[in-house]
Amino acid sequence: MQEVLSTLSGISGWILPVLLFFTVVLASVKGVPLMDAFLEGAWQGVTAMAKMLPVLIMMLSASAMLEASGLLASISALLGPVTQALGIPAELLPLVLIKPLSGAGAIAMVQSTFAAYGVDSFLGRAASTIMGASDTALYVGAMYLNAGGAKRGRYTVAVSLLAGLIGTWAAIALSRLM
Amino acid sequence: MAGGIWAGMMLLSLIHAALTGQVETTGKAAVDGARRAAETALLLAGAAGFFSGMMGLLRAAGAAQALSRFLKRRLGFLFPGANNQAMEAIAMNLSANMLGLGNAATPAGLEAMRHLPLAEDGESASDAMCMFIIINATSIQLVPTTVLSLRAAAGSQAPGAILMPTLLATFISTAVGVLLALLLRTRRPRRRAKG
Repeated sequence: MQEVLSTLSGISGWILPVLLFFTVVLASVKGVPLMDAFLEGAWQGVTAMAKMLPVLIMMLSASAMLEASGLLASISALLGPVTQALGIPAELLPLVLIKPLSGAGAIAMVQSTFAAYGVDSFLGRAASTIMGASDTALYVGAMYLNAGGAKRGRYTVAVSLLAGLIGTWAAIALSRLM
Repeated sequence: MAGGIWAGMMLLSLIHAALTGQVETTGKAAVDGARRAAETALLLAGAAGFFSGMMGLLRAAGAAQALSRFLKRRLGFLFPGANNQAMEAIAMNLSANMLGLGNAATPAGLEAMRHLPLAEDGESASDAMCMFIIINATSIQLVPTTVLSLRAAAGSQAPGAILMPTLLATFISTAVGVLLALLLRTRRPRRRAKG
């Protein structure tokens, strides 16, 4: 088991370079106009980030206040035993709570975790993995239900949140192992 | 709702700061956080631009369309009552999400929701709608580009070390979501065998 896991995490470092290599090869073979296609995509990425800046300002200033006031430490200390029982380190609780609601808020919390405990520490890796394990479930649910004209989401929200929580557990356990 | 949480974060922080004598640092932190937001956006803009550029190549090479065709053929059973237009939009949304093309995924997702039928009562979400939202909410992005960029910006020795755990974790969350949604699906009333 341990061997399989360490082999798998060894593969991690190769995923990105291999993806980049094959993307460029595939695009070249298919005769894609490389510069045009790349620049068009890059422009979309840059503008998406620019659109996100106001939300990021909102969430990061609030989360910086949360830290500076000592409230975050108080909450973590208070809820520590509860979250410990749930298998979630108290330090990651703010991230787990904000994740379903706000992508920018989650980014803010991940950055705080990196700053406080180090990006390559267990907590830093766990926070990174939690980020990718699920999406902003409540936000996505509200947006899509509204678009479909559905007044009641039935089991959508409960299942999304539960699946997200199980994904969070998996992320924490996998970060411990790999 | 996120607005309420934001207000709560600020007000409770200020009250806590007042009680523990941290008012000055907390006030300063608000501006510090805003500055950090601008720095983050700038750092992420470089990486986001790079990854979206690479995805632009994949899309131009037809990889997104090929994936979309594949998903459309295979995933029909998850979305009962979806017509061709809805399936088309669903497949486009899912393939864009897998490749991390958020810009393309959301409009396709909204279109899918408009084409999916509501439940029989005319105002609740149908099983197909629930399934579609759950899959989106549990994330199916294969390469978490934003996290990679954040890690690189924070000076990580191994930004990519989280790729395999993330892939496994997001697979688990989506699998749990899909299985639960299948279990909770409205059962069609089965015709009893006469006799």
